[in-house]
Amino acid sequence: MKKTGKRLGLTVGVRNFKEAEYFLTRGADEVYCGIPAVPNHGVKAENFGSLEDIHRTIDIAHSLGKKAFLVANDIFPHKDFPKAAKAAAVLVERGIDGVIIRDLAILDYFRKKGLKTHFTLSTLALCFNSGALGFFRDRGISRVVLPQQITPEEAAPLFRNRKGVEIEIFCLPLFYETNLNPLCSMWCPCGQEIVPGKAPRPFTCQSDLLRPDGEKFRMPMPDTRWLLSTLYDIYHLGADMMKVARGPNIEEVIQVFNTTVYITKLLEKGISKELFLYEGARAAVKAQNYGKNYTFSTL
Amino acid sequence: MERTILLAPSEIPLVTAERLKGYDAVYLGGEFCENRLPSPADYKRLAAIFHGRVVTVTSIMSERGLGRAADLLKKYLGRQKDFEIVVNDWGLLQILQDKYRGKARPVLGRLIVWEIARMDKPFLNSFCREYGIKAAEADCEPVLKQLSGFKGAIHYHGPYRFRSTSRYCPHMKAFNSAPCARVCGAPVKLRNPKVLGEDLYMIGNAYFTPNRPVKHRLIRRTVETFLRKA
Repeated sequence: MKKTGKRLGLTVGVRNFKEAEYFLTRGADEVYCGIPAVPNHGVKAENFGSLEDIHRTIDIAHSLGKKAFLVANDIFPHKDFPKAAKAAAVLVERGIDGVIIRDLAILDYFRKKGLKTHFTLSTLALCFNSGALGFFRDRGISRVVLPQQITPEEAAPLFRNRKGVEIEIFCLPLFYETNLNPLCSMWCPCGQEIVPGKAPRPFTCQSDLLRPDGEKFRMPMPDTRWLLSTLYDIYHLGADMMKVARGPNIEEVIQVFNTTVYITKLLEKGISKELFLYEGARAAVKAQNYGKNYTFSTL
Repeated sequence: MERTILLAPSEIPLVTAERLKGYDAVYLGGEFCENRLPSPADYKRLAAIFHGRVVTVTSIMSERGLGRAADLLKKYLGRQKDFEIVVNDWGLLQILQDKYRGKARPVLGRLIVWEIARMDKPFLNSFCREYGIKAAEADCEPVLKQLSGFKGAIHYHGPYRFRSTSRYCPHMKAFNSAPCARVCGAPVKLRNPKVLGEDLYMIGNAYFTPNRPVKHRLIRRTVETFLRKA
């Protein structure tokens, strides 16, 4: 039996103070928040509605000895730079613990403007090898969120050569995207704003498509067992944080969070891989392991 | 305007010298799968039927892919006068910068361009100067528009526009870094009018929709995907 027992921190995407309070008092170590002034990868409904809510989120996080981050994981048009840098600087001053970025240009701009904080590289930046990790580390990144589509064998060199960079992972059996998200422009609900009462459009990658020979085709992804096995191995490589992504549907986020807490505890107990696969499959059976539910609901 | 054609190494036996007549260069490799990285033997096979320039094409890389690319650079770079390489991985770009600055000509590939096309242009232009990048690749008008202000040349792909890619290969049911000796095959047309805006074509581990040639003052080269017959 492996005895790593390394504690895996939990970071959760939230959309308002109530959600932040909910998760921070139930096992989350960090929350991350988006605001409209700072472009980020997500639908508008995933952003905080007021700065007051963010301030309260920072305060409750710190009062519990935890952290709050600002998400800025999109490619910015130049016109948004000054406004975003100002908003980020105000929040850093107010106590936000770091910024999650994807765009090298905004990282460069933030740093030139003297923004001294912890920078996390979003999973959207697609860091698949230790050369890429070094490329981003040299630009001031302190944490990298691994892409979902990486195997333990591929991830191992990143852990070996991380040189102080923290590594964050997704709870793969609960959240895995069929294609590489930042490089996808197919028809799906992620690219559209939510209209309450209107059903979101289906994901292309989760729909049956028809081949010329009449056979049905669905874009493939690895099965739950493989995803659990990968999660187990990557945890044992030394992952620092586990991520639960923001989502427009709070029931789903809570379900994914609770299952993630359970799966994290299993990992930290140091149980064998066989037992982890058995217990993990039981835990993951009800969770959708693709994308997000775009039917809007909130706390 | 330069005319080029994109071939995977496994497609070399499918083309003749006659088929490659009229092209200024052959793109050899693949943007979506690291198993399409050419070997020295592939350059030799191509040289037997094509005497023009060869542009090496690379994808997002695992550590193994990056190692293979580094080996290829070590073995092959000195043999070719003008070594142009399409890069889609930040790690590979950094290797080119650290070890081969001035010896190889990196071009930003479609995957990296999808990421950086919207990027602040003064930053992008300065980044490209630093890394010796003089061209970027595109395949649709929205990306061309986003590249407005980019100081380099643009190479335009056809007859397909890239829409999505997975590292989990639909043919192999394995990740791209797993060894593969398969030929990806002809494009597979996929339909579902209720979901898709237009027909989708699967080539290897990537998905495409048809595009049309466009005129743009920065387009200096066209890149035609070689299409196998079904």
